[in-house]
Amino acid sequence: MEINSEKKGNCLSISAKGRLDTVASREFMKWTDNNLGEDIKDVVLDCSDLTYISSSGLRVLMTIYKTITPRQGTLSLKDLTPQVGEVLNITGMASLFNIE
Amino acid sequence: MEVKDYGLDLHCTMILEEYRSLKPVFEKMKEIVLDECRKIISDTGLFVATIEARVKKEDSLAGKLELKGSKYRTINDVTDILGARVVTFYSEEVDKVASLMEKYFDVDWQESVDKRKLHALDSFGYDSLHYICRIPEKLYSDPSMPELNTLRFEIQMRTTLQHTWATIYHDIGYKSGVEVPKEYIRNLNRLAGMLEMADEQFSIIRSTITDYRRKVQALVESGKFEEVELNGDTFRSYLELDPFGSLTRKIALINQAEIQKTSSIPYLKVLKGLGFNTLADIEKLRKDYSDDAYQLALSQLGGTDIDIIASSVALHDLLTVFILRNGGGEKGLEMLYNALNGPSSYNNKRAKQVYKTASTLSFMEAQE
Repeated sequence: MEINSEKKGNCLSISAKGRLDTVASREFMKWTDNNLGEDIKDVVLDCSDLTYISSSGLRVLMTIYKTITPRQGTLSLKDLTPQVGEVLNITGMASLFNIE
Repeated sequence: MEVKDYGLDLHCTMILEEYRSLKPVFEKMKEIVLDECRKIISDTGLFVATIEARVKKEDSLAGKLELKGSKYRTINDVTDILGARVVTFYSEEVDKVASLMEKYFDVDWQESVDKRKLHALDSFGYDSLHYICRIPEKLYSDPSMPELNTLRFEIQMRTTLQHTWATIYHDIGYKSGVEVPKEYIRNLNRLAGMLEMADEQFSIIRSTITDYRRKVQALVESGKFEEVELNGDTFRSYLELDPFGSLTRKIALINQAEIQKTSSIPYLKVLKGLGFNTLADIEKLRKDYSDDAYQLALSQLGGTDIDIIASSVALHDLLTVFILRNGGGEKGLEMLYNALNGPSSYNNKRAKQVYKTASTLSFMEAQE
């Protein structure tokens, strides 16, 4: 999986390409630990090239969500692909995030 | 260090000398009193606006001695060299703080005054409760500073509104050194009456809300849901009973999923929008639609390897089924998502997808 990011003020924009499966989620979690600094309030995840998300991927999203929510921040997911959208729906998680 | 000469008489100069030599004791007392006040107030769970203390400055004491030095025999008669202040939000908390001070410090009752009660029936003023105290040995003692337990200090206890009034009154009417015309003083005193009423109203509002919350909690706990109007407070109390826990766990069992605890509070606006007016309406939703909500979850999660769900999924599925069974269709689902996530083009796609899955389920045949 390929991760690109850009930080503007207290907003971190991330673009994830490929499959967010168990192995990639471990890598993404590590990346998140290193890049989700205390100054980050809002996170925007561009999902247009994210073709698959597993339970491990959902756990990473929940970690980001639970980190920024106490900071009054939001996690926005942009351009969901059908598989990712469906997984978020059936787990009840779609209602937690801003979906653009 | 150069000693300033204030031109005081011999008696007052001696008191000032005492002050200079005892200044370190007063500073130590300040530290003890502040620490103790913070600790006992915090231990009691009281939430106050300010706890502060100061040791009177030498210039200020000299000015006081110049004006009324003959009143004092020794430094111990000047009881406000160390002054502490506790400012509360509500008037009844002034008395709660006072009872704590009585418990932990030795109060000199002959010198302490409740200025709140001093005003004549036809006058106003908005003053505080003042205690003159000593630090008891059982609280703190230091053989090298025996005066720690003999010198007195003052604690003022007042509300924020009393504090505002007293500060402005002091600043305008007293500190400026210029005699203020009576009409201005009269206006300040009228304001004092208004603030006193405001303090009373704040207390009344708080106790009314507390009573209401207790009553609602009792009704929720006793299961009298039809008597409880749906609002933020009542919904929170209801959620504490974990009404959707059983359905959530049943859904989790489909894939042995982990349940991530998430808030169901955002669903309140959806429930209100769908015409749920009492907790009994939500109970009816839970009882009447749980089987169908499970059927929906099973059709969505079964056959996948997803082993994590949000704890709000049960309420979400219940509302999905409610909308579909009541003929809301795709449009109704889209409105649900718009209300929860804000409007977006994705909500339409999502509604279509969920509607398509649900269309194959038996409960859709029994639309109401």
